[in-house]
Amino acid sequence: MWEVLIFTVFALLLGVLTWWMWQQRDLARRQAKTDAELTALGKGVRALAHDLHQTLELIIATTERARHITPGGIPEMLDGLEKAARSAASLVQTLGNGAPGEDSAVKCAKGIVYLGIILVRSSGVSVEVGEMGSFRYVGAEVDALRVLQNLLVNAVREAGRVDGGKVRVEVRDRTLRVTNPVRDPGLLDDRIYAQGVSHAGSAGMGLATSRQLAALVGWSIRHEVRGHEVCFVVEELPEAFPADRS
Amino acid sequence: MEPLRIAVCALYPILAILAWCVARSRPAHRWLAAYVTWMMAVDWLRLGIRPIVEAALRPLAGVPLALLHVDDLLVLSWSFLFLACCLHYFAGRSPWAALGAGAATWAITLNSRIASGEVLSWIFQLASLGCLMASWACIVWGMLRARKIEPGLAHLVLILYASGDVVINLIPFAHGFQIGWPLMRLVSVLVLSGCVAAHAIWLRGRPSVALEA
Repeated sequence: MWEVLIFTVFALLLGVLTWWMWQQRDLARRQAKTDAELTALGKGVRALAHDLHQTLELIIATTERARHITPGGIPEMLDGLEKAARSAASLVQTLGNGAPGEDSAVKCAKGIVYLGIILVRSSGVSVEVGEMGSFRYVGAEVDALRVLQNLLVNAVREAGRVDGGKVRVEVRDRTLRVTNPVRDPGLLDDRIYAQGVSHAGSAGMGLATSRQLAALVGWSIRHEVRGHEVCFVVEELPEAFPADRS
Repeated sequence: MEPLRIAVCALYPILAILAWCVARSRPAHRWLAAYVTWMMAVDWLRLGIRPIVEAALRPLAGVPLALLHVDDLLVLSWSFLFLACCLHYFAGRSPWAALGAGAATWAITLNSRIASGEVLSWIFQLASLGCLMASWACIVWGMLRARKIEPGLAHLVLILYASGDVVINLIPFAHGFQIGWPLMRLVSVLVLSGCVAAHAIWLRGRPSVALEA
């Protein structure tokens, strides 16, 4: 009888230990998942804050230029200010809404491209608009706008550092190209897409976040360096859009 | 009645009451509470059925024979309902497979020509072993693979039951059924005591728990 008693107590204690170890492992897994979600949330908030800051800087630059503007240029300036303010409002709304929308409908991106161009034109750098073919996106409009805004703001900033620098934007064959001059093309390797790396003195989050957001809206981003010019190429991802691309 | 049997008959109602107290604030616990309540009811039912069957003239016929089959069903329900609980709590599966297997096994025992004497004894042992192995397979699968399952009191109780069942199933091989029966009751007392303690600790540690949606 004693051996049965001891064996039973041993078996029960082993059962309790097994359950406890399972509970600890489950707690650790849930904690790791929560930590990862919090980290992602923190990154998302910082990225949105970065884009919001860029948009507000545009608004400030536009209002500063307003002191020297001619009466004929006032309507265009006010239009640009309004669009910049709406862009900032969308970004703040995204903070409140959390994750980007899961809308999978295909939408035309031309309006967003024009909006982005108007926003950066008020900075004073010349922006040329070439052919504007068809260009599409899926998902949330604010995510597409953030991608384009980041590319255009970077282009305008770099072009502003070069005497007579211009930015050129065109859409051909379902591909958006943003071309601008750069002072030091040697710094433009793939590290520009890594977070925390920036040669321009900014936080270094823009292109890294833009690549992630681009994937959400059905785009891919790469760049091509030609001499003292860089061209950021935004292409539609085939898997995000229907096969009949007429 | 022998002391171990009295202890088992006393511990089951205590465990059932505690389990339903937990189920008030944890609706997911109600299936385990129902199983414990059923086990308690089976114990009391068999206290009434066994004397009638044992006192009846052989060969059994009529009411004693029907009561014998009912007794067989009650014994089989220990293993198959336990397997159903493990399927529900560890694998998130419907318990109907276990219940169906239990019904099929009971149907075999209804045929007195096939299922009698030693054959019947082997049927019960195989059913018990098979359910125990399947239950442990569910437990191990739930612990290692199921991501959506959060270890709780019901899982602990089922693991305690399963651990005790391993010992109970080994006893007939070591001591034979007749000699081993009191030892099985001893194991049952220890398992039930552990389950009562687990429920008591859980209830004491969470005095006011909001009802789950």
